[in-house]
Amino acid sequence: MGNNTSFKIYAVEDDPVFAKMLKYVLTLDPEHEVELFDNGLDLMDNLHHRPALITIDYSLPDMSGEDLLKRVKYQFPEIPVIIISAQERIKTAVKLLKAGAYDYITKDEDIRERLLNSINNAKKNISLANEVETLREELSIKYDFEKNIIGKSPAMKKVFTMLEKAVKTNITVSVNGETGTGKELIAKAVHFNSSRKNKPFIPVNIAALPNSLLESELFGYEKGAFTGANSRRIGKFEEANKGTIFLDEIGEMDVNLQAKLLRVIQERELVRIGGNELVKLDVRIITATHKDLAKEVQAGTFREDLYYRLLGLPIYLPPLRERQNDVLIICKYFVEQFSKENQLGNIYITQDAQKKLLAYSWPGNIRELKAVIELACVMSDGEKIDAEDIQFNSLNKDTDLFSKEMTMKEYTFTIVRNFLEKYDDNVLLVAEKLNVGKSTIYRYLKEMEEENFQLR
Amino acid sequence: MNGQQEIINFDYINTIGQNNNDFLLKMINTFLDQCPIILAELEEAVLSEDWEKTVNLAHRFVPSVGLMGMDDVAIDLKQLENNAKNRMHLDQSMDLFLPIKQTCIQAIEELETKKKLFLI
Repeated sequence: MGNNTSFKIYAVEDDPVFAKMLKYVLTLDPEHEVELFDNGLDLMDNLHHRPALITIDYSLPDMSGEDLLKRVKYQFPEIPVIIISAQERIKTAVKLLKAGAYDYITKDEDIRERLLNSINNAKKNISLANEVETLREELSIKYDFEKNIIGKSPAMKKVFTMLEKAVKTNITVSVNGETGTGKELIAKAVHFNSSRKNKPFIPVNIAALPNSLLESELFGYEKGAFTGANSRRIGKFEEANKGTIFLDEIGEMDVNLQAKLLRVIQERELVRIGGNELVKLDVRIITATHKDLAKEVQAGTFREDLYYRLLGLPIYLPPLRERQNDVLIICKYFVEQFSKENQLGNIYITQDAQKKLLAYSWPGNIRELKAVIELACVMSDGEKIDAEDIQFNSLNKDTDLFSKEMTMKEYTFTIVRNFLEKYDDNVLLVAEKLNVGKSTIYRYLKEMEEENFQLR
Repeated sequence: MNGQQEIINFDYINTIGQNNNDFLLKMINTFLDQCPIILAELEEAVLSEDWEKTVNLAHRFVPSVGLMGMDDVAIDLKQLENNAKNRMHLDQSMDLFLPIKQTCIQAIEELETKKKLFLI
């Protein structure tokens, strides 16, 4: 039934003279492959061949164009249908367009241009729709958590169990974890594996917006609501309607705004700033924070009622140091991903490099690991990643210090080493800062040398 | 012809076909094939007072005659269609049909002549 590049059009027209004219006009574009039908039932019998577009004469011998349109749309709502009618009736046109017709064209002298224009527009829409569908499929694959959220440790198995539960219902999900553990990835995985996957996923980073803007950003505003509100603007909640809103860094939200958020969540409706109209909402909420919200509640910086409203299904993302077993699996995944994206061929990680990766505490979590691996791939000889290709540039030395279990002596050595690094090996200054004598520092240095102590 | 006013007007068909003579010839041939058949069916429908069929045939014929620029015939066909649809003035149906038939026969003759000129 034609080649891959053809655009298959079914035309239903019972007047043979007009049908011939129609075929002529439609085939002016060599890409079009046109098949004619002189009644509605014949079209329905052939609909399973899935034409790209259908034109229907409004008056047919066996059924009205409107009935045929409804039948087509019932089976294949995505196929654009153009109604061609001998008479121009506005009411009929409106009724048909409401019933799902793509266009309504009358049989007059403009038919050639109107028909071809309409088909070209439909083609653009089909192309866009296909693109959206492809992107959706790619997103589903990207956030398929079995393939893209990596880890075999008990802590991650628990995360997977919670994810499975989260995607089956619309329950509010709260994700907690240190920075860089992949909270947004989890939120997207929940959305793109849920029944809402074809609806919007709207992320909002609460910490990135000043409080003065956050309210209008979340709930929208009416024209004239405040200086500069020149037109109505819908907020993120309305954008996310039927889909999911991801409120990242929820712990940073101002207490006054928390009260408004609570009302929206409880009532499932909002009023735009400066407006009166109630807007009904059907939005799934996923929140994330690196903070311990229970402690924030105790400290009075987070509302208790909102805390319980948002808690829903809590997913705790363990820091990488709590799942050392996953480090190498994730490293290999990032090496493969980076190599593939940059056409680098197969790169493996040597034993020494693996030891170095395992000895590190990853204060920046997955985000840091990804950066380290990508740099290592670049620094490597293209075949293997050696220990010297791995460079750590952690910003968080404090977390690093306490993230790894050590003996008291090792902690002491580590502190001395860090201070010496910080103050350019100025022993006097370090002794002063640590409030010990300089001989103590020299003694530690000697012991460190004797015990061949290396922090990393 | 022979001093009679011409019934056929190719303006519309030439607009659509952008003066493509092959297309025009194809449309003339299709009209010449189909017109006698539809006319016979329509006459039969009116005679047998099958008003549903009259509505369908008259409606179907309108675009064909429109393509050939036979606007007066198109108006009469719409009248016939509307009367039959609304079951009004049914006794005048044959009076409406006969001039349609007469004009179409004349149009066929005219088209045959034009076609010959084309083929020379």
